[in-house]
Amino acid sequence: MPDFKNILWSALIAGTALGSLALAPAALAQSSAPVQPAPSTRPEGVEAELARGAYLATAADCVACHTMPGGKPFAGGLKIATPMGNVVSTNITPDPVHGIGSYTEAEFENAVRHGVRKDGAHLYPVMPYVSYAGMTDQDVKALYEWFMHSVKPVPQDTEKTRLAFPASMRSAMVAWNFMARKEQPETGDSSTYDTVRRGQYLANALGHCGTCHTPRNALMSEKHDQYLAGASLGSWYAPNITSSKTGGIGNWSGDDLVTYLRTGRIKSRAQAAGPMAEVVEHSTSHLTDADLHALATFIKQVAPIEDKLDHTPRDAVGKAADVPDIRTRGPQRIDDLTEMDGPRLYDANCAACHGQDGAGVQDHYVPSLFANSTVGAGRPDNLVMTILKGVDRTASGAHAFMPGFDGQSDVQRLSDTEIARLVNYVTATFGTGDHHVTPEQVNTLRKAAH
Amino acid sequence: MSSEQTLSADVVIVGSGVAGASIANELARAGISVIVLEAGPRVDRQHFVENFRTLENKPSYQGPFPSVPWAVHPPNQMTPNAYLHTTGPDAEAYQQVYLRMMGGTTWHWAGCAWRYLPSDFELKTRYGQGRDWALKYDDLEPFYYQAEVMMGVCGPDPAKEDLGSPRKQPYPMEALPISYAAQQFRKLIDEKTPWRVVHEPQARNTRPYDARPTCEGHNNCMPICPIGAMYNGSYSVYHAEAAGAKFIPNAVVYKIERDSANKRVTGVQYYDPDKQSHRVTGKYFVIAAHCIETAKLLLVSADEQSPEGVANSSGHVGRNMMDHTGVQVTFISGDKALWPGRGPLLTNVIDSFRDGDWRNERGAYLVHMVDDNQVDLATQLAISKGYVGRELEEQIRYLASHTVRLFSHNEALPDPENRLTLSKTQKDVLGIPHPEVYYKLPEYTVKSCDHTRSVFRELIGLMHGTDEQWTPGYFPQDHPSGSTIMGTDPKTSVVDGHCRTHDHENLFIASSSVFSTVGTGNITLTVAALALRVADTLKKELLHA
Repeated sequence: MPDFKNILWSALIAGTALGSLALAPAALAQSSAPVQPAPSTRPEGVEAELARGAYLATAADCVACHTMPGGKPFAGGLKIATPMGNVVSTNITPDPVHGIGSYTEAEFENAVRHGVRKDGAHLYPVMPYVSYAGMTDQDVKALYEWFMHSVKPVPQDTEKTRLAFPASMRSAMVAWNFMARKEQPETGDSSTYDTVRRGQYLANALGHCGTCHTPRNALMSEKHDQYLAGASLGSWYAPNITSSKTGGIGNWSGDDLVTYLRTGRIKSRAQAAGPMAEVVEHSTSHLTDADLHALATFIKQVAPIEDKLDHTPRDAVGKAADVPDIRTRGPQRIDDLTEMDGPRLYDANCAACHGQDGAGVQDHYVPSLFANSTVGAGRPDNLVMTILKGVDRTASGAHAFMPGFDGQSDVQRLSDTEIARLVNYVTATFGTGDHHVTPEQVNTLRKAAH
Repeated sequence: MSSEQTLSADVVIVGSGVAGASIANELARAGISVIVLEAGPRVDRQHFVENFRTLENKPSYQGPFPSVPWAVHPPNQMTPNAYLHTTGPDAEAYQQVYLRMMGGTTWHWAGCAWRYLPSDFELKTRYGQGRDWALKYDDLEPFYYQAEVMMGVCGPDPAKEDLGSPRKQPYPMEALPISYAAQQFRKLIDEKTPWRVVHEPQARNTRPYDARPTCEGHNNCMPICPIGAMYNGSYSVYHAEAAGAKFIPNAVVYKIERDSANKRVTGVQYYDPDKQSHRVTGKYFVIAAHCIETAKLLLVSADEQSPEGVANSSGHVGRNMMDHTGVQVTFISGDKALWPGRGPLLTNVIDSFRDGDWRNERGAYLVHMVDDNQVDLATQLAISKGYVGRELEEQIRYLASHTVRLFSHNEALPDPENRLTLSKTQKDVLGIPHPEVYYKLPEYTVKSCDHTRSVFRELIGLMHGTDEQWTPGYFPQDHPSGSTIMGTDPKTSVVDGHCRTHDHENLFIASSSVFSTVGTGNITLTVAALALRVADTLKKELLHA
């Protein structure tokens, strides 16, 4: 399901982990079980440091970008398509020739926190070093030790990244780095921080939430006065997750947030799809309860920022509503593929699972379409994207799945016009009203998603 | 008449059902150029779902698929039928339906994905009846598995429930949970009879598989799975197209051309809906057009060189027509409510009559306890009993929850007299004759059906059943087979063990039409396995030539 390869240059420049969506389930299975250190003769302190490194790598979601579909964990090769060309993630296994086996700890630190390779070349900020810059010395060391000793070396080259001018000038990143604001390194032992500080550390230095959720300025740096206020990734929209009760998620309890980060869904509120489903799958669902609570506590206290479009909570909109009676015409000839109207499209493609009335199923394996943050959002982007790409999320032992309806679908391929009509019907019936989405808007998102 | 441009490919396939599409996919993925000619149109699911929803007669599983005039398919199972004309003593037992369109008849199958038993391939050797196939179970085993992976088949763990067909690999997906009605039925069979109920292997998702969702039990697999949880041939068409195969819809092939020696096929000709003729050439040709249409095409292609039709030096094209013609009964159980219709249509079978020494004199069979919604039938029954008002409502609820439907797949034998010919009086809009089938149920099958009836009566007794409604005569199962029969002797068969026609070295047939006997399990998985074996043969010949 390499279904999320094209992120906009803006998101790329700012550094994002979104390419992870292209991971195939096989790769995920492998990558979620990194090679553990042999039950060796290592001293206890070393074992503890390696375990800490493994956990940090999960929290920082390294595997997401550094593994390609069906590929070996951390061997790189994932292509993140951009209008400037593909950025190919590198092999970060400890192979001395093809990976980072020859890196010293200082060189590793320079790459992770400052975006500078061993040979002095600057990394593209697809690598979120502006966030990782916030890691403590101790954690960088643990991460280094884990990569060097517990990750299996893979003697395999990846393709080279070749971008068009001016992005091809890696040296241009020096200027950008000068202007972009970085996290300041935390100090001490991150595992002993109090709840809010630990949450902040998880959200910024490791989880790099702001990479997607914070809008950017003209120089593509995160706007710090708009922290977590929501931003478009060109296709999916990373919503406002500040504590605003209307525009953000201020109406979510701390437990709601923990549940969401662990399972990817909260009944009658929200479900993770697209890049957030990947984050939950690879990263947050593997965090400890204490860390999830810390993360939730920190997110809950982020300053509220009102949203430009969402003035009522996205997940508290709409109610059950039956499809109007449309069963009046007889069967049409098999070659009649005329584009149907909104109610019929809903009836034919959605109602079987989400119900004639949009209520989903009782246990919300299939969620309701009302009280659903994707449908109730002022921006229809994620609804369009979900219809195009579906949902495929495995977290905490549960596999949530909805087929996509794009041009690769075996279930049903919907045109831009059909998706526009469907979205407008669904938002008018279960959301905040007809969004008047046009086929052209759908087409833009369809193209951005490939 | 002819179009200016002649199309050409390494392999030309006629038909885009599970057989043709899976071959196209395998070949295209191996870098071989493929053209698939489909008589019917390109179609999609959403329009069929809407057709089904607006249909008054829900049990009519051809109902949501009104055919196009240039590629008519049988509109229903009634006699007389406007397209597939049947004659003979058991004409009504051969009213098969099928679909002519992208993806073929698997749009409205029920997903039953049986492997045949090893004995099914050796009926003559083991029981002195019918014929042996020109291949053995072991030849097909790897292709059965390949077909199960392609289609996404769920089934029981062989260590817990051995279905009699040895497996080298487990099923790709875990078996479907048995529905409430089937659980009740299974308990009864376990406790009160010497027989057994087993999970039915199904080409239906019990987890997300191949980018399609898990079955939700909508209970209308036939006529249309509304969510794509069940396999159908259109997926293989899509996959083949993605791999580079060219799919041409509305291309009604009416002529198979051969070289002057009549040894090799050189091209096929098709009509478009305006009856413009087009020619397609290639190195290999596969006819994968369903048992009825495949035989029809070979016969329609008769000319001076082959007055009896293409690939027909044996005279066996169109002969040996078989089916799983069976017995059907519905009744009202006197025991506690079963609430059928919650889950997929078919989840369980009694497989105790699939094999035994008695096959030397009567045919084997499978019994399905059909788990379909019975409100329609219950309503008819309640009205016919004169109930009105509140009592009518109560009766409908009672009857719908207590109705039991049983039917059987009974084994036929290849009899050359059971024969498909071209209608002398009926033609379609393109001038192509309709098919006509003479059918007389073999004595072997009649005896099998008699045995089934006695078993059904016993089951009705055990369930304290009333209001029995037996389908008059016999019940066609839409599993036509045998019309281009497989064998080792070119004098008495049409294709060899690799489904290559004896007469034409580059002409293959991928269809149930090659079956030498018909066994008892639903035919589709065997059709797919044979097709994948054809693909394997073609790959070897084209890539290593």
